[in-house]
Amino acid sequence: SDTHKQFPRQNGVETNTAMKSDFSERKANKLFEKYKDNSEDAILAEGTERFCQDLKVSPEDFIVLVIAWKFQAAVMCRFTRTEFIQGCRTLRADSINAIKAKFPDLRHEVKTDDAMFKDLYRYTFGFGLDTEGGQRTLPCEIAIPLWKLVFYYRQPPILDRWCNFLTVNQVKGISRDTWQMFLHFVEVIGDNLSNYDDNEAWPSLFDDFVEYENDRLKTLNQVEKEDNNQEETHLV
Amino acid sequence: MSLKPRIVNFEETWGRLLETVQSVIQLGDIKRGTWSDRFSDVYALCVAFPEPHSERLYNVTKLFLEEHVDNLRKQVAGAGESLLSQYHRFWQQYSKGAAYMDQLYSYLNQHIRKQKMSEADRNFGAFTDTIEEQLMDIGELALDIWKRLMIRPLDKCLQELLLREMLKDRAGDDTQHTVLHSVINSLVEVEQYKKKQQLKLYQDLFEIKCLEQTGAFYRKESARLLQDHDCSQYMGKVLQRLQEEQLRSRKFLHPSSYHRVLEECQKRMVADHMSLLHSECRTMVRKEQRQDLSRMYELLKPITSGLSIMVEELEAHIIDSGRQAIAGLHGDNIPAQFVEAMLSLHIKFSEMITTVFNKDQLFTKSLDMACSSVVNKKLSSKHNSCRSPELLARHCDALLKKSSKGSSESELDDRLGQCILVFRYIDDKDIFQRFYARMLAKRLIHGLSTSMDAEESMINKLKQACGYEFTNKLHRMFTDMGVSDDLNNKFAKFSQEKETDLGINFSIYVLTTGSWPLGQSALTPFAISQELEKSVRMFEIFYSEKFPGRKLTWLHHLCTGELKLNYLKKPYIVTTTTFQMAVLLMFNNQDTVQYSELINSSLINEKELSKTVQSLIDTKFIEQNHEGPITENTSFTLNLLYSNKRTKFKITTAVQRDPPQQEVEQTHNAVDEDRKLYLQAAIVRIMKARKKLRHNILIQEVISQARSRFSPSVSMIKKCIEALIDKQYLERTTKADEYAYVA
Repeated sequence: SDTHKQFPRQNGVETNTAMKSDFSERKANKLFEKYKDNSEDAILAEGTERFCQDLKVSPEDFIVLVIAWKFQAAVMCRFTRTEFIQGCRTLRADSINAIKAKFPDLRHEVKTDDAMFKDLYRYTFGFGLDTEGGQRTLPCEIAIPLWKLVFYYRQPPILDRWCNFLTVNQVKGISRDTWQMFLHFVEVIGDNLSNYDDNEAWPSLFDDFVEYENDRLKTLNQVEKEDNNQEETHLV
Repeated sequence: MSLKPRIVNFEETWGRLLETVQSVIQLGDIKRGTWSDRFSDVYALCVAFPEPHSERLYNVTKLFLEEHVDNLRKQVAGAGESLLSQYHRFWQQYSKGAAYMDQLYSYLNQHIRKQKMSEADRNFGAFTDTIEEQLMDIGELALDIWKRLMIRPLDKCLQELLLREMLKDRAGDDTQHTVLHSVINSLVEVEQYKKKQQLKLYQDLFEIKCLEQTGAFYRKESARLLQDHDCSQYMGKVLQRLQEEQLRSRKFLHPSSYHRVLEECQKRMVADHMSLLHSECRTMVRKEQRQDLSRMYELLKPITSGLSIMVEELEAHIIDSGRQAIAGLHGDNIPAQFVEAMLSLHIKFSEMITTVFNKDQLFTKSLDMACSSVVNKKLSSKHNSCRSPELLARHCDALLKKSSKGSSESELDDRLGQCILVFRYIDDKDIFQRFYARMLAKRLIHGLSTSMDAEESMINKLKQACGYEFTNKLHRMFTDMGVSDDLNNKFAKFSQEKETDLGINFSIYVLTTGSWPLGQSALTPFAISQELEKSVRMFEIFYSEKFPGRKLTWLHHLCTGELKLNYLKKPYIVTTTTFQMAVLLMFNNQDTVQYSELINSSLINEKELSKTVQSLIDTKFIEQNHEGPITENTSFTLNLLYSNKRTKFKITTAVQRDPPQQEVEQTHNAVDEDRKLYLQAAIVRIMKARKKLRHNILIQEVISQARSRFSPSVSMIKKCIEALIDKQYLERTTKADEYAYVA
């Protein structure tokens, strides 16, 4: 029985060392150097593009957002050396192939783990924000694609209507608070706007959205009714 | 006679006593001596030796009374038609007689009470009811016997007769008031000695049935009345009936029944027909039929929530009349008309509420609600603003401005007081304040106020209505004027000391930045005319010596100058703006000046300068030498033939009579900005004190804090909360719907 007990432990140690040997800081650094910008100790837009090419994914792919999140990249299209090395360490991958091999796991994680997705979602706001330019709110032309991207696997039923509302009403910027409350908002609403209670502490933009949608639906219904009436008269 | 217990012959003594007692109960004549003797007899029997005869005495007395009452009853029952009067006669006699007997037996009564006490002690207070039944004072015993042997056997009969008589009285037939009153009240008196349920017999035997009968009567009566009369007449009849019924109950019934009877009548004649009465309310209110309304009020007031419909109708009516009056305003002087309309609305209906509705608070409140609704009516559903604050401010301005119409101080004060009445109804007090401040500034700077006392009194009135914070800036503006007078004097002394001749009369106002609603954005550059330069310099030196570190900004566009014109047939004194003065002074050395020269020397911007020049051309002080639009090369010549009937006057600029829409909009925008700041400050204040707060509670608190200035929209408060989250004064807690203060 002793041996039985020892075996798994030995196995454990073995896999541990095996994992350790999977990741080499030297190799990760080498990988970083490959994409690093000449002027700065960071991978910038051009490097990111090559990195994506090698990973055989489009820079607009959902997985790129997940990688940026795993790497805790502070801003879009930019990985500093520490971010990159630390990210590789977290993923335990030091080569293009090793990173690619992690894709299914990563996808699976945010698809199924609510807490992980929430973390990714909250991260995404800062990721899109141009902090160096002094931005405090996310311009809608960035926010909308980011919403579509981050909800790649979990698209809420009202997302399209929300984006349409933002575009039609030329909403300028999304505050951090509004961004973060939006996740809670879609959870509460589902696909039924009557779940919304404007006496609660929702950001006022949601009030406007719900009012706009309700007005729109009302006029739609009216138009439909009139159409029906017309059809009836035709029938007569 | 000795008080010592002794042997007493019971039969003999009782024999004596009985004779007297028989007489007493029938209120016969009894000599004093006899009375004292019998009194002692009772004593002797009670303390008799070897055994007291008290119990025996009690029993025989009881027996006597029972026989007596039984006898009386037989007579009453046989009296036929005059049963009630017979009963009444006997009762009057018996009840008085019983009271005397009680006195005669007072020693026995004492004896019984003592016994009761000791027995009660023994029983620790239990079974007192049964003891009371067993042993009563003689007076009580007599009443109890009356109840058992007179009332009980005759109860149906009495009831029937009493009710019949009541009915007869209602029908207007003659009844024997005293008999009825006495018989009915005997039902109460006979139970009066009891400690509880004194009224039970009266209620069971009579009151319940009486109320039933009353109800039935008025049910029929009201149906009958309604058939033959309209609502107005009906109400008149009902009021009359109610009054009669109140008199009737006082005539016959025990006081405990008064309100019950009245209530019953009200139920049957008013409450049962509530929907009918209510349906008439609208027309009566709309047509302001005072007599009907007053009747209706009197009828509905005692009914629970009976008045609510009427109150609502009145409120709606006031709102409609008010809106109609406001919508009908047209022509000149809308602000005055507006205030007049509101006032007459208020006066009319408060008078009505006083005379018709007895100053009832419900109605007073509805008047307030209605006035507030009229005053705060939004221009349209989309438009979120209302003109009332502006109109009221303009009216105040007109009142406080110098005008040809001289009105006495007290009259002016009255009118300002009336403004306050309207002011109290305004929700957006902050908008009023903005407009008021702007107009006050103009009055003060241009010396247009009719009286500084009136100005101050108005500011104080506003302070009273709305608090110190509200009038803070107005007060400061007012004090600035006083301080400036003082400064001018000191400056004059200062110039004297420096032995500087300024060459002109020079007077300034120093206005505190921030207290005055004066934008500095529209300032044009301006090179001060040479003639003024010395004075300005000197004043700057004087001021910076007096208040080092303060910054002076010259608001030339608000200044005026007085010029004496000596080049014309007669001398004129004209009041001008600083810019007009600058232009005119250019003509001091030459009669023709080019536009470019004006630009170069005054530095006034194109827009302001062309306006100024145009005003001088329009008033014929100068002439443009060539037709056409003004260019750099246009030259102007002084009109040496200028003449005016008056020798002292003001050069009018083209003043727009109606305030430019822009100014109104600016004011509203400024108010909006103020509100955001105010709300954010309120939110921070509340959250700092409370640390954590639920969303709805926070909203409520903010609204209640802001109420005295304006009624904030929830969406505006929400936006302010969001702004504060963004600025990291607040954060959301893990609980949904809750905020926390970030220190």
